Amino acid sequence: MISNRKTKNVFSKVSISKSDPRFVRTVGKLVGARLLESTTIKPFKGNVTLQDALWAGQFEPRILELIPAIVLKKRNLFQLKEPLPEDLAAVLQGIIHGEETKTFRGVAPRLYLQWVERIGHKGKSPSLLKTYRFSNEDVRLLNELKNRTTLKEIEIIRTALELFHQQNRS
Amino acid sequence: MLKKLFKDLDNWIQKTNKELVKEGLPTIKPFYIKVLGQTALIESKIKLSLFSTMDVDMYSDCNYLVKKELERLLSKHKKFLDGFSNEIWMPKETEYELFYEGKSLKAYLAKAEYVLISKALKAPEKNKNVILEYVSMGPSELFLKLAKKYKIDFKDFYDIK
Repeated sequence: MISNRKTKNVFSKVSISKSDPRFVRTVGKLVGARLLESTTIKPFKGNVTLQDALWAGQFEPRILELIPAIVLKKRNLFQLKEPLPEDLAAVLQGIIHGEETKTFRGVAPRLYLQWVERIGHKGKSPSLLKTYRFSNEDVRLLNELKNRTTLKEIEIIRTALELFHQQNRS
Repeated sequence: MLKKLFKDLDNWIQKTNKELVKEGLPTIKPFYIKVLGQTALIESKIKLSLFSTMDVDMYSDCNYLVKKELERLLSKHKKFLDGFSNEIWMPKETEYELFYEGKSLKAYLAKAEYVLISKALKAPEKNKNVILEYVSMGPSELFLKLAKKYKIDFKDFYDIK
């Protein structure tokens, strides 16, 4: 059942954390970017580090829901002063490679993945990184086409894929 | 914001229905929208420190055409219709308060106590702060009755890192 005294004690600890400038600024930054709504915190225009945002996320999981998508699609929102934490880097790698991702600090993949298409360029997923080994002949052809067409290598590969796809339509 | 949006949606339906009549096609029938989750709490003006992402939890019996227009109107406010709204569990006895009444739509807000019980039972980790805040303010008799009925163990909420 409910213990009012205990509830008040625990809640007062949470309240102290939520009045911490790191929490207030993080939420304010997200409110200013129209990614979060708050009934108590106003928009904040100053700088907020990713480390502070991750810290604030302990007290409000909705912040954590947004972080992977922000780092991928709205990179300038939070300042990056230290290398990415391993768990966040693993989630981002998974998204970029189109692989299955793990729960991020208690937030299920379906909850943070929904923001990847909604944040930044709407409806656009980040491009996927794929690695292939080319033969010398492939590279020679690619260079020749690059010099002849002034297209970038990736544009040549995309065009070739599109042509191959058109030719093999059922 | 939400009342204005429902008014815009209702106006759009009246206009669309006039065109449908002209073309001899069936009109859009009256429907309801139930606002749930964090959006219902914010719109109810309950005095809690609430944080919400830009997705809106709603349940409706509206048709596809109306749903698309609703999504378009929400996107003007940088908001999204939550794709999982149909999966939101609400207590079966949930009371809804009339929030907006138009010619074609009636919108209701789920009463705060039921929303909080739904959150406490189905997503305690995500919502423990708001539950603690509400309980520390002095919960209503209705909330306590529901908490007892649904056997909510508040020990889980005290376990804050």
